[in-house]
Amino acid sequence: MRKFLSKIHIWLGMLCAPYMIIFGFSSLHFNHHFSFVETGQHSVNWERQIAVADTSDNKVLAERVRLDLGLMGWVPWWEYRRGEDNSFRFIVPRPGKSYTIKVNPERTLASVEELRYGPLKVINSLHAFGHLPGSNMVKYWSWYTNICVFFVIFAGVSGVYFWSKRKDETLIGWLLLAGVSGGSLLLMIFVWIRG
Amino acid sequence: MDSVLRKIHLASGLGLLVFMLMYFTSGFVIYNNSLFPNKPAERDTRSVELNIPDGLDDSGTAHWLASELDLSGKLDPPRPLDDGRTRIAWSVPGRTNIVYLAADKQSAEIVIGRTGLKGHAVDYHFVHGYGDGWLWNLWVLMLDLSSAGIIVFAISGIGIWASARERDKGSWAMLAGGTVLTVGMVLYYMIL
Repeated sequence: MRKFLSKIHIWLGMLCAPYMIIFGFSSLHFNHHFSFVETGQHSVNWERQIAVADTSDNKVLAERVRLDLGLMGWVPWWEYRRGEDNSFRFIVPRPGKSYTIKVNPERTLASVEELRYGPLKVINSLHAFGHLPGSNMVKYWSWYTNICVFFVIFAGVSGVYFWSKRKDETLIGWLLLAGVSGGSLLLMIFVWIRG
Repeated sequence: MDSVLRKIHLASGLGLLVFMLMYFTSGFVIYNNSLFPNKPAERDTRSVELNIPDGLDDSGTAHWLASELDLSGKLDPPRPLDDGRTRIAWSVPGRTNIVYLAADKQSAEIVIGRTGLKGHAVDYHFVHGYGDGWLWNLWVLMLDLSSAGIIVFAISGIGIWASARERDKGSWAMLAGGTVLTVGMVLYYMIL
């Protein structure tokens, strides 16, 4: 039993180690907003002929243009801008890039400012990344994320089991488990009750 | 070296176990949102007249309101609204206290929102940012330690595996698979 659990712990640990490293980094970034994550950012401008039917529905129009341009990404409603001449501007953000798209009133030309991010920002975007319109790859990341979540829970339980079977490091283990982890649990309960 | 790595792996795992489990289970709830029922938040609303002391800035006003109205929680930065009011919110897992301060600061609407278990998970997961009292600073410190700890946990685990006398093909394949998928995803979204 112990050998089997150890094998699973090691195998899944090896599989999930890269995910846990980038997960830990992105969590630190969410808390501290490191400026170096923004390095490597630069813009590229391009234009393309398009052929989309006009509509007064901004969301539908944005999606039509996105699909016509073959882009992956979301079309957040708070970035829609209609000009007085019926030109249309919107943004398509996604991991790795952000497109600012201006469409002429005739809906025949799209002018795109493509903002390309550096690798650290892409890494940060992968934290809990689970859905992206136009992307086929995201489902593999979604499966990987769920596997890694289950692994962390399993690793925690199996890790305590392996430690309990050892004859050494019992004192330090108890100090960590009861002191730090136990203290963490009390902190959560205290926060919940006190507010 | 192996002994040191094992101690580090043990310390990072056992010490940060509870917080790591909390973040991963709450993260699972958020990530797989559709699997968990959405319970509409309960809301209590009331209006109050205020007599805010002169000379207080936004932060001072927020602390005065918290004390005067007995509102607790982690403070979100006060936010001006388009209609001239100021929104000030305090969050506690499972509950949000929001004050909509009138433009003339003579009155306010207080909205207390309570969520179910799913809301608790979301709230626990999203506490971040130092600077709002010892309790929240301690929580955010634990978040930082857990985030750094999971990196240490993973790297020390690889180190223990690498220093082992025997490493089976399966573990090599797993490490390669996880690395290729992760690096591949980064390159995919950078290039395409």
